[in-house]
Amino acid sequence: MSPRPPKKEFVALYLCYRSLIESLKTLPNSRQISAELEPLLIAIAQAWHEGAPFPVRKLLIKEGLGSPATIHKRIHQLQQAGFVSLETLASDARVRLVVPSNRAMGDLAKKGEAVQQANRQLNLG
Amino acid sequence: MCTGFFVASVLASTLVWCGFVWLYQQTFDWSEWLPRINIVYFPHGLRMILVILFNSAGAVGIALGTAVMGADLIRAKPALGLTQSAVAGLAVWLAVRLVLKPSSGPNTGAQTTAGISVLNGKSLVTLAFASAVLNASGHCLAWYLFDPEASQLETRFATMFTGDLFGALLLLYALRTVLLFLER
Repeated sequence: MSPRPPKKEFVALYLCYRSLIESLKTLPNSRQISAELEPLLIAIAQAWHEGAPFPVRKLLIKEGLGSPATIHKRIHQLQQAGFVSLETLASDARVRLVVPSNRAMGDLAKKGEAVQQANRQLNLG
Repeated sequence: MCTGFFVASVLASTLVWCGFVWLYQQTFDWSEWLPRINIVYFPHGLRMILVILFNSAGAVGIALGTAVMGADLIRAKPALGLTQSAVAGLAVWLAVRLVLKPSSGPNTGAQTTAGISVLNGKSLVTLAFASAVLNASGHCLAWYLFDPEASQLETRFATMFTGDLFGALLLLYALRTVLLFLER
């Protein structure tokens, strides 16, 4: 005897429920940054992670992140949102470094955990 | 959708709606500005959830539940009570169909189910806004048509709209906080 096929109404209900749960988690909030700011934040975090944080002047002319004016505006936006801060270099007070804040690192760590979890699920599947 | 599942969904929606509204009336009685108009109306968020989950059955369940909870108004002013009960369910159902349109492909008629794939945080906020506008407009139209004594319709609209919008958003964000807390 073959098993009864699952009722498509229950499948649809479960899919709606999952979709609703995922949507609730992605409700807009002040802790999120817009997609256009993310590449800049990644570049700043990467440089800091490698032990050579970007001076503002060098970051303004970095290719692939937009014009100097755009980058300047976005650094300001990230600073306002609490994702980066400007620190003065100890040896030269004229150089200002852009460093990621603890909040930004926490955010990136969460994303890393999500990637790890997704990988684990893919391996299980 | 088979009839049995539809009826079960309607009954479930009606029961959940009546239970939630009863609880809300017990605890948030102070937020009622005029009968059926609240400054903050959390159940509007539940309307959205029921229609997203059960589609048209959810809307029918909400309309029935509203009629049950507002039986006194239906006895006193049947046309007004029944129309406003229908608006309570229809407004969110219509908003879901307007906001959660599938981005491409032919319209198969099962728009809500297909549109669920485009549901995200931003569309939930848009849905809260659209359904609040439609619900407040529908209620005010019903007052205008069936209750000649109703005054200050524009104030009623503004209060109901803000109450529904903020109520829905507060409920959704509260659920989000609970979900994120449970996942920790």
